[in-house]
Amino acid sequence: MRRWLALAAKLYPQAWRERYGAEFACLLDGVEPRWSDVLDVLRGAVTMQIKAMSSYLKLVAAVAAAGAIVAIVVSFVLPGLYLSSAVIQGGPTNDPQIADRLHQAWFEVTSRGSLSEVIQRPDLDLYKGQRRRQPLEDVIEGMKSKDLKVQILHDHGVSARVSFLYPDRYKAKAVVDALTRKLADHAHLEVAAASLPEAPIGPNRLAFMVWGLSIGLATGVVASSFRWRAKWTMKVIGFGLAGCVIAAALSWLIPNRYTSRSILRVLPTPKADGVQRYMHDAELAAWMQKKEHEILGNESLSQIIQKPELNLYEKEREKQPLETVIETMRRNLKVERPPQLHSAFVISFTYTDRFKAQWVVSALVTRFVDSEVVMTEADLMEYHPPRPPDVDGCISKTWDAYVACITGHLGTVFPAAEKSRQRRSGPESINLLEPASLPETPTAPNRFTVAALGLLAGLLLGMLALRRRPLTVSTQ
Amino acid sequence: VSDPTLLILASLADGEKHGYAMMEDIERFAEVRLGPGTLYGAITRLEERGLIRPVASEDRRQPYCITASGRKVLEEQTASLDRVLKTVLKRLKHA
Repeated sequence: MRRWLALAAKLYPQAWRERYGAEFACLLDGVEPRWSDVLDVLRGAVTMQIKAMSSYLKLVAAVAAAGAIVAIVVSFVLPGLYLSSAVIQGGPTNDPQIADRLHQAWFEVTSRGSLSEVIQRPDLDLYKGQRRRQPLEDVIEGMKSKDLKVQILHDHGVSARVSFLYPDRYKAKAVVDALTRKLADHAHLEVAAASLPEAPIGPNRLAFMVWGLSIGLATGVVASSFRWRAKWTMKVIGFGLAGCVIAAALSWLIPNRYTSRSILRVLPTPKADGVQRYMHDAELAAWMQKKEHEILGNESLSQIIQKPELNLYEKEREKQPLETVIETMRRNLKVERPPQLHSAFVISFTYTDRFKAQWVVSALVTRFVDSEVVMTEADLMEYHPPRPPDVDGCISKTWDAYVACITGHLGTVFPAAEKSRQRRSGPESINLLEPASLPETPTAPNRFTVAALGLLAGLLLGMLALRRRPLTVSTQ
Repeated sequence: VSDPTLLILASLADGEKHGYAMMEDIERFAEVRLGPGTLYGAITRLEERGLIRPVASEDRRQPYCITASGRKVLEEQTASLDRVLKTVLKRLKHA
């Protein structure tokens, strides 16, 4: 019978058992057990469960509703957002080349330099407050990722819709006008005037309400926990905060790492018709494989690492062989092809010193560019290397004849000519779309994420360490 | 007169008691046996309303005492019951 009483007592809500469990168990120990007592305890457990659940739900619902109300009020207080847009007509046919041109042009129009000029134009002066708090790089990234959009449409021919979201409708229109004009110029297309938005399209009050409701729900759950299990909740929060502080402190021991990047575009030799084309993916991949081997090889990287003014990985070099340090550098060095940009690649390097990171990227960019400099006939005419007099006869010939002439006679004396001739069949030039950036903010470690993970780990550890002990009722 | 909360207040009127002592006392003066679930349900409600409070104790058993507001509520309830009883008795006498 006592076993049944003990089982029935376990059905009480946890919070109730934490408060009354021990003395209730003591009372059950003292009474002469009867079946009516088992039923009485069962009834009491059910009543308490219903009461606890209803109080819990009431509190959670109240806090969630308050959160939603606050969010709606905030959404009304925030300034409205206006969306201006314009369409650029690419032509009546679905020509993939036009879409390509639009993509390329869009990339150029939204480059750091171009957007920085638009943002800082005196008549626009965009994101004024934000620019006071953040580096311009971050403001540009925010503009590109949130407010500025381009959509390539294939409905009736190819066209592009450019849109910009901003609290000032006139500035929104002016930005779209400026960017579409640039875009049209780059892509040699026609542009329609940007729309002047009449009514704001944001903030999205429904999204605000959903967010407010969600935050309110989470707060309600924590508040309920405080209401019924204050000590336990405080201890768990203490664990969480300790985890957060420890993780944040540890993250400060990790040095900042900055990433500099640069974008280059490889343009192959124009065809006989003079039309400039871009490299196919496979073509570019093969080209990059060859160049990476040459420029990012051990010898090249070792030169950069050991350059006296850079002196990269100084401590690592004291402990590890140079080959291992080169491997470390290679891990921090990335050469990638952005999917949205044809015939182009991005070089990035991450290092603890932002100036050195920029320097390394600049050096690599220079090597990539230099590797593709083709000596034209005019260059060769101006080039006066020390050469034997019998080569002079070759100078007046055409390019191919000249190369044949000098390589035939003086290949070893003047090898650059042969190299240049070979390169004429490959990519002709590299355009520097974006020079190596000087990073303002570190890319790693992400201290906010580290602290958040520390908080989470602390909370879980706290819950595990302070897990409730079951109510025990003596059966003796 | 079988409201468990009133019976508990009445039991604590003459001093602090733990749960088992309350059960025995109530059974003695009111001839009502409160089950453990009923007793602690009422104790929970009374404590939440501030009419009783736990008293510090070394014992595993937790004694409770009536608070000033608990005493006031008990007085109001008994006065009300007294009026009802007197009325009923008077009516029975005249019937």
